[in-house]
Amino acid sequence: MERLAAGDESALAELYERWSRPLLSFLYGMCRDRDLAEDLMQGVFVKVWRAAPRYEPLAKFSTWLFQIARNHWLNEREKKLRRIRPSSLDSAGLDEDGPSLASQVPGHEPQPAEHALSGELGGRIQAAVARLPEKLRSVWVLGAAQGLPYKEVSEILDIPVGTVKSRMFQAVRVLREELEPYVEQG
Amino acid sequence: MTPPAHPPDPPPPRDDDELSSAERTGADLLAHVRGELDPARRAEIDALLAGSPELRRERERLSRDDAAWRAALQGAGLAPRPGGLDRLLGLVAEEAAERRAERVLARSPVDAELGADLVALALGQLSGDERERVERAAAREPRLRAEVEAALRFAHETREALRIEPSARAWEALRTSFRADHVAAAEPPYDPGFDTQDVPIPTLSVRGRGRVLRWAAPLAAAAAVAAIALFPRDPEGAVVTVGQGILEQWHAGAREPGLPRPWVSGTFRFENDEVLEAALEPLTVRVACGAGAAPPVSGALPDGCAEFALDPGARLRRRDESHFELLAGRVTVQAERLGDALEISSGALFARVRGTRFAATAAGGRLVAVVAEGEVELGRDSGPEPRTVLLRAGDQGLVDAERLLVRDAASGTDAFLAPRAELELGATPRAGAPLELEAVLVAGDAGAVEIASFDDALPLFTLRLRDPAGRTREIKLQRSMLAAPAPVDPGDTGVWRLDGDRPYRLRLRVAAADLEPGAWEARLLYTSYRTRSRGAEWLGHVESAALAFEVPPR
Repeated sequence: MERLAAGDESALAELYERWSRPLLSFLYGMCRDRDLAEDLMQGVFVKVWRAAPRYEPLAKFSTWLFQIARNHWLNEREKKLRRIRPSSLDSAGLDEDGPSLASQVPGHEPQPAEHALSGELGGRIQAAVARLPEKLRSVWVLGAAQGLPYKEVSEILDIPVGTVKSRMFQAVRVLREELEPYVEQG
Repeated sequence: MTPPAHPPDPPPPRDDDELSSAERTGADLLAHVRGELDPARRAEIDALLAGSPELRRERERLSRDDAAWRAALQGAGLAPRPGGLDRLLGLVAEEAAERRAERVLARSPVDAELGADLVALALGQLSGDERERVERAAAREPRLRAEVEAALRFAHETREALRIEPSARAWEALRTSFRADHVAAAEPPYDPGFDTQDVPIPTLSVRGRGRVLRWAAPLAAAAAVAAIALFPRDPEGAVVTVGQGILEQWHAGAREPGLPRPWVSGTFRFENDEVLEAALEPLTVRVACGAGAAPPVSGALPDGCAEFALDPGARLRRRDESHFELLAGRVTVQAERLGDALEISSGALFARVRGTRFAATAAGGRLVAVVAEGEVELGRDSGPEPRTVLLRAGDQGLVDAERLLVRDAASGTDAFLAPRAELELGATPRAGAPLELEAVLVAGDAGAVEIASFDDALPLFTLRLRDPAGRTREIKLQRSMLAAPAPVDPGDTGVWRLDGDRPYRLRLRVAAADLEPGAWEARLLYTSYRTRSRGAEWLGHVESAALAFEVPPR
């Protein structure tokens, strides 16, 4: 981080090489839009290097990084909700400013093309995760997809470890209810 | 008046499919309350309401809350915020998802505490005695083991489903942004090169026009004879001198699927129809072109060899011995005396040379070349005449489907297509009165270019003001600050074609300027990014010169 604070581009490259995939995966899990996730990831890195001079290793780096990522996602979503134009309630496509609101709240049904692109089960999993309420989705994406320890998830989300544990179970139950018939079929 | 909070609902009884459907369309329910549904959807919701008392209660609650919100807003003299309905719909849908999750949990066949332990076990979050205890419990009952297996499976599938690779563009944009941030930390709010479609001018140290060739030619001719005698011919011979590249096999103009993309360094064969890519770091490669010498790792470049310095993200395809196609990014080329003309193309656009040093950049259907030494023929295979132009040392050229532009290096380092921003006073400023200005964008050196036009929802135009006390602040221009409607193109596409006769002109009346007596300074900033300005040809950041003005005492 010292090298990054000093403007060392190779330090940024190392950081990017190590963290871009987990970050992108996390953000993609939260917003389910590849372009938006990539834009958000870039925003996170910008925040990281701007905060680098003040960085103190009080917690694990990954905890700090994912805290920034989650806050950035929530802020950007809030901004988007504020400035988005009212659109057709049936609309699930893209508006001029990125993915429609419908694609960012639970209840967004995947389009056939999404299934085709990501593979049938992958598409269903993505859609089911996207339909989880935000508080379950963030826990699930961090704990299951990123494989972070519960303690770290609790620090990132600022909730007790016990809450992480119970939300993980609740997420599994919801996913199971939605996906089990399909999984058994497959 | 405080808008009513939603009281937490008790978990409703087990419900049927219709209710699940209604939950998924929670947003539609609010739209039903507001009469904003189309007839077909309204009929569907009506049918669901008729069959579900709970859904009717939900609708009544939404109706009450909606009315209370409206009353609260009116009481406070506030207009609904743009996007307020979407926001509310988002909240409704989120709340519906939360309640649904609660219901799913309520009917779980496994006790919540034990279930949480089982999931933790599946994900390797338990250890010691706790782990043994939960393992023992799971071993006893198949339904508990099923819970563990489900957690494992869904975690694995989620991991796989969310595994995506960042694009090469992401790193390039980030790096550009990082450099801009560190070079110009004094002006942080705008990010000049970020995600633009304009073609930046490649940087090269430019020597005097033709100077190098004058003294280099006799030496090079002698060296050519020696080189051909000393080295065997190896037309595909190539050597990486800086960094590592990725080599892709292509066939019939497309990537051969399933073939590996090996990393290359040192000596390798760069054969026709292969693509060389610089990943995250710059890559320099020397290549024998035609009947030339094998390229050396260091030292002077022998005749018949070209050196390509690829920026990160650049992709270069070898078409034949002396023809290379720049598929993406920027490459700086140095080529000594060649048997055949070396050609760098991008689609139908090309830069053709026999011996020179120049940089080429391809983006957005344009090719820009900057010549340091020698001459470069820049052109296109089709389109309006003239189709080619000869660039000499010191020249910069841009070619796309309709333009063929040349300017000398003294023209500065702005991107070719950047429009110019100008700011003029619309009326004599007075203390306490709104500031009246004319903000104008005019076409730059390249002539006509399409820009994103004014949009109230997307702040593209910003006014930067410095007051008499030296404080600087920025005001994002909104529709309420326009003294006349913003120009709109006939198709209302959100894109405006700037050319000599069609500047983009906004008449402003900015009350938020809070004018007070003294010396002021104003600048106009225009910034458009890909995500904000779909369809615009030019994206980027321009800033006007400072407009100084004096506000007289009251």
